[in-house]
Amino acid sequence: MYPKHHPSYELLLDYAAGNLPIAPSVIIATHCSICHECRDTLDTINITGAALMDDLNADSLDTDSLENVLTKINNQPKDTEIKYDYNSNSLTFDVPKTLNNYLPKSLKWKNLSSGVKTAELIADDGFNLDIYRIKSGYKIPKHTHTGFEYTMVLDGGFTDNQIYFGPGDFSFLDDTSNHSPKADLDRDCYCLVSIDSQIKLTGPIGRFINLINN
Amino acid sequence: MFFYSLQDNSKVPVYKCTDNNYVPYMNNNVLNNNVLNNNVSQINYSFLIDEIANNQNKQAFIKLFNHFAPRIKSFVLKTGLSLNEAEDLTQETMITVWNKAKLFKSDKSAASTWIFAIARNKRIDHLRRQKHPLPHQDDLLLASEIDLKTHELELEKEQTFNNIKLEITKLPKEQSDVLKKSFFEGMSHIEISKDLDIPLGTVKSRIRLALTSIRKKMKGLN
Repeated sequence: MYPKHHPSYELLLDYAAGNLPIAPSVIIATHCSICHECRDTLDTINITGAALMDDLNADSLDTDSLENVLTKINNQPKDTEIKYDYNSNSLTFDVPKTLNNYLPKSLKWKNLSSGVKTAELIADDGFNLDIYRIKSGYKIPKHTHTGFEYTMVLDGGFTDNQIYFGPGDFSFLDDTSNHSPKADLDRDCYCLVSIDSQIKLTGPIGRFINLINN
Repeated sequence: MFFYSLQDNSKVPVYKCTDNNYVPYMNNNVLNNNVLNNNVSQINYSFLIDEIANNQNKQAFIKLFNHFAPRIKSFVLKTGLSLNEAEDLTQETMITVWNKAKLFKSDKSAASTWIFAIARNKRIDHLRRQKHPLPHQDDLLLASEIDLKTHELELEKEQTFNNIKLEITKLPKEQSDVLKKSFFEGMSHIEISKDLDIPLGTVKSRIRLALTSIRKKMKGLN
């Protein structure tokens, strides 16, 4: 996978410094996990953050600080290997491991419209994280957003405003974007999508009505 | 078991403390004289982490603690958390450094970059109640990647960090201010634009200019 569409520098900085909600953070982490270019940028951001932190005046610690840490290290169980939870999920394609922690064993698909199903991964911090499954050849009616929309293609692809998005590609849209993505003809398109939950307040039916009204 | 002095590659075998129950504050000649204290700015923190990973060397850990823990505390305080939270997160960070020292081996970054990233992520986890998502190492399958890690490369990594640090002090103030707001004040680029009352485009271009020049410097150094 060599993604062609990337998060901007300012979004990568927001993510790395912890200034984005968890849902879009997961999308950016997943994109970075498979993208050399963005990993390079993250390296740059991390070294920058570290350099700024290294320059801070050193604050004095509690007098027993070091002793406490050494005691805790001595008393903790020996086996502190990090284990990753390899979820078996119901998806038919390979999913980046970065997503493992957020994928339930079975996804609960809901119909958003005749051509779009969604399954929720996270609802937190004002943003939702969902997997969207767009039926092959289906074109989502033209619409705008009241907030921000973060997307990453997991499998398949779609064309939006004459730009093609394939596996790994990232897209960020604000409230000025008007778009109408169309899934590839030969296969369903799976995307990670995070939208301000302001939109969610109208419920799936309201969202569907919003979609066709536009 | 021996390890070699890093400064001159003279391969002089040196005594190493292998006692896991090592009592802190005891004088350890190896760490005090041979490798670490030739010059304060030349301390090789990567080497200290390797010592923890390979030999559970408590003296190496104490050296790291003395440098990093006060700065981590200072960082956490700067982001607006309480004294208690700052002390707790600092201790948690240093325990993670001890426990995950082995993972540092595969990391290409300097010790400072690695440790401060752990501290930043601890703070984010603390505020969010959910773990900060990080790119999984296995997702980037690079068949051609060879493990070139040697002590010489480590010295280079540390040198790179020091050079980058210098480069950052040379950034125009308006650029470094934006970066500091992001790292220390928890502001997104949109919030920075509101806070400074400047257009979003200006914030974006400051971030871009700063990161591009640091990145160029990194490429030039490697």
